[in-house]
Amino acid sequence: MSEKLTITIDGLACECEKGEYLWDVAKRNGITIPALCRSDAFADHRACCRICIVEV
Amino acid sequence: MINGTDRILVCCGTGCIANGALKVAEAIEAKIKTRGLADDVAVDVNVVRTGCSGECEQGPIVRLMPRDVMYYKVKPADAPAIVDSLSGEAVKKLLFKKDGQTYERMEDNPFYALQHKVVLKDVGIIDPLNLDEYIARGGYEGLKRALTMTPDEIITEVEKSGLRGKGGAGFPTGRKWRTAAGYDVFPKYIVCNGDEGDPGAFMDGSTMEGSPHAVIEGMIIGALAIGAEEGVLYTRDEYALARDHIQHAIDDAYAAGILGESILGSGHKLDLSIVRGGGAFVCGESTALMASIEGRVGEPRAKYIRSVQRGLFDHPTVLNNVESLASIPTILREGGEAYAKIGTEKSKGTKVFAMVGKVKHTGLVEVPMGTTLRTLIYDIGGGIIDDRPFKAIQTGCPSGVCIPESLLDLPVDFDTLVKYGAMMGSGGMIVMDDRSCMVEVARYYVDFLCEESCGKCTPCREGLRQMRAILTDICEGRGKHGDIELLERIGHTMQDASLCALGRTAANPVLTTIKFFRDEYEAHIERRECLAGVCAKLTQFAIDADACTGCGMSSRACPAGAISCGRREAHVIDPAKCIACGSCREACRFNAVLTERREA
Repeated sequence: MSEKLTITIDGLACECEKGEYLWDVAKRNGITIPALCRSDAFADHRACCRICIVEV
Repeated sequence: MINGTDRILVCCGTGCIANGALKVAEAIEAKIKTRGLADDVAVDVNVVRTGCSGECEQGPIVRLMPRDVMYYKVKPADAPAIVDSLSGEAVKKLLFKKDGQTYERMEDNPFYALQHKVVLKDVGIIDPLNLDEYIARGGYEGLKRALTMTPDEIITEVEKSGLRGKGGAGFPTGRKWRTAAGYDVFPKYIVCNGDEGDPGAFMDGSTMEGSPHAVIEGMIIGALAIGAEEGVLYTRDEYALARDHIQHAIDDAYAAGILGESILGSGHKLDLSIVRGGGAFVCGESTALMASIEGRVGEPRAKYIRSVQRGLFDHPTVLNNVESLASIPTILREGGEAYAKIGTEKSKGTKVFAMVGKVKHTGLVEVPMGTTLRTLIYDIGGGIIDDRPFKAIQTGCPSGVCIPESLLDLPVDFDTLVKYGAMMGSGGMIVMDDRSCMVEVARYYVDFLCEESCGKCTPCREGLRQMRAILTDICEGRGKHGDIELLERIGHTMQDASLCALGRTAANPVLTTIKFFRDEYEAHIERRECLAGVCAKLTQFAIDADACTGCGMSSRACPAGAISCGRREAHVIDPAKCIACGSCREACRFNAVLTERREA
């Protein structure tokens, strides 16, 4: 988790580390993607509610 | 045949048992006893209760071997005549008749003549509870050969056969086995998916009932190939007979040293057990099935890591469908190349179909891949009941597709139908005539799937609910402009975004009925008219006084008492009492019941 990357979401350049969840990066940069299951309380239920699916 | 004795095979598949096959078998046994035939040294007769022989609609079926006479629709009272016919003329009235011709031998009956049985080769021939009968027909020969081979050689043989997963997905079985064999994580598991929950499908159930050892032998060979020492048969809880037969076969196999610490003395170990399904349709999905075996709620997970790598209890797991596993013994016994000669270029072997609905001969059929739907429906199935016009065939229900007449001449295999926006599916086939409303059919399947969706992911849970609401509105005359496009958008979102195959395929019945029968949707929405005369809120019934003979059939069939019943005069429907159920139309033999658009 050390490699730094820059990704572009909705035209906004976002700094992030390799291996991070896109959802977390978006949130940190003020972009809200709706989701139900993004919680640290769920160890392995990430990306299962499928609300966060976006078109790229 | 077996032991050189005469055998009377009584089909005791689920359908025939429901029609009284067990009583028929008892009556024949009693008759043989009273006539002393069983003690006669010259004529030794065995009555064998077999698995499903296929032509369920004509059951109970009794077959005399080795002479090969097949009797249909047998009643216990026919037992004396059947026993007499062992050494004399066949009983004419019980033979199969078509177009004025009678057929004595099974192979002459057009229903069977075009079939090619690999998976079902012993089903309907052997007593499923008798291990010796399975062995006498080449059973466990494939396993013996597999024991002389290395895992790699077994997998190569399966790869050569071109076998693809017959649950409908069509993933190459050999490749799945090779991937699982490549992981050095133990223990590994082999799982048989017998959770056949589709309405109208009974391929896997009949296979497990009629030839349980074939499934077990397939699992043992698979276990040898991937290095598994434990296997699980996940069977649908409603299949009580199949479960009993499988359990009986497992017990026999343990007693014979085929399962257990040392398979046939080879030193390889395998334990098999049955896990009863919890009754949820979604448990037929691989990861939900494994969760269910582990004792957790049967819900799928995201498959970023495939279950061949981390499946049951997070260990490498091979999950195959019943039909795929039951094909394995033949592939090992006769070689992969021999198997690959059957079928088409990319879809090898055979496929079992459960053909039901408005077809004359419903039942269990196995044909080479690449057989056309027209052959299945018209040559094997005998055409549509009452020779009514064909409208659609629903394959791979309930998340399958509705195929129109224009695609009937395409070969049925894994790939061809997909190019035309349809698919082969798991093997359930429901034939529909012109009295089926395609919007109502789509609504029915969406309703079923809505109940069965596990609710974990949003596209499937919410998408199905909204589609059901829209389709119900259309069927009840509240359809709006734009509904068709909205259904398509919801459907495509579900295909793209759902977590598991249930959600990804759930929109199929809606999308394909829109694709092939758009005019029916438009008629419902724009003119409030159900072209098939099914949707009750849009249809009213009337009787054609000229065609009506006053026979009273429709009057007796009416559950609402809405049809007047004057003797020998045309009936009249009282619109105030009529609930538009359509029972009178089904009952009338003179096509005198008419449907018309109901004014709002």
